[in-house]
Amino acid sequence: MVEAGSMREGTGNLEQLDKEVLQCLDSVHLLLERREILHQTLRQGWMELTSARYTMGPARISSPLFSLKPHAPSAVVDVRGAHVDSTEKIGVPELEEEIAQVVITGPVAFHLVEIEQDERKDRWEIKNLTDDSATESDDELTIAEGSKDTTQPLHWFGALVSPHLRSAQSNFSKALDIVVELLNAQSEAAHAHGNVMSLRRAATEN
Amino acid sequence: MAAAQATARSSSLIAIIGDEDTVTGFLLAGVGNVDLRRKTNYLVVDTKTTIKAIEDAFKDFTNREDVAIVLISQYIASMIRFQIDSYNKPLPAILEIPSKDHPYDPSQDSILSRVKHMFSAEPTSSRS
Repeated sequence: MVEAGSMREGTGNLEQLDKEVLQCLDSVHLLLERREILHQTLRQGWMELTSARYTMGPARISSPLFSLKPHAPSAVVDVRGAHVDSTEKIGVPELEEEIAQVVITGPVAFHLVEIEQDERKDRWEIKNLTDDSATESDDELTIAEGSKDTTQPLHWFGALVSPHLRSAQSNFSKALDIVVELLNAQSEAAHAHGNVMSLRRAATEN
Repeated sequence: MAAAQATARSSSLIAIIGDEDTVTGFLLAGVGNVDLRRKTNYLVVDTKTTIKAIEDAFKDFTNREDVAIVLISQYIASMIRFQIDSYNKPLPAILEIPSKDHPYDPSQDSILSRVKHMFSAEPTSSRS
């Protein structure tokens, strides 16, 4: 009876292990798919940037033109799944203080949030929210509040810019979406891999 | 003892370490941030950039609380591979991306290597 019980438990663990292995492989498959799409999107973006540089001149699109006036980003990331444990602190000798440790309880999910400054209302609005972020309270609208304005990066390169530069901007925006998907897949794959290794260890010990 | 916990869901920045074209592209997409001290969340790496400058930028971005993702071109990550491999914090997340002149090398991807290792280990039942 005891042997039958332990056999059932062993079978249950193996089923769980199979499930986790399949989950891991699915995440890795998604990861590889997203990597390929990211590469293609980035390549398109670089081509458009090169075309814009050819049209407008190399000096018109270069890093010295990046604005160093204080400004906020119009694309930020919302992180779910991680929480700050205020009782666990780790010492940081260089800072001579302690900082709260981030504890991860499961796969971390990233969500891209785009911010558009609404000058009429003198506040920032969130657009293109993913998943259930659209139901968040007004507190979420204050993420970019402060003295900094968001900036339109195209304006750094002149009033009239090549359509290739706009196209490059669109490609890199798409690449940003893919980066977030890639990170989510990476987080899932790492989490599933961790589960597989623990279950294998448990099965070996039994 | 129940730990007092606060959900860290505040929106965070995306930092970039890459060549001029990659950084320009992502800045066009709107990830650029400059604070009141003119501190940026990006580093443009060119032929004059030293390895120390890259290491310092990586260390700075990974220690900032307002950064959730650090994008780094894979060929630049290879220059500071030891520092990248020793990095084990969950946040900010590090993502190596291809660059214009250096395609992505999957053999250097840590997740893929770990999964490959998981399946390439010899099973104990196959031993005679």
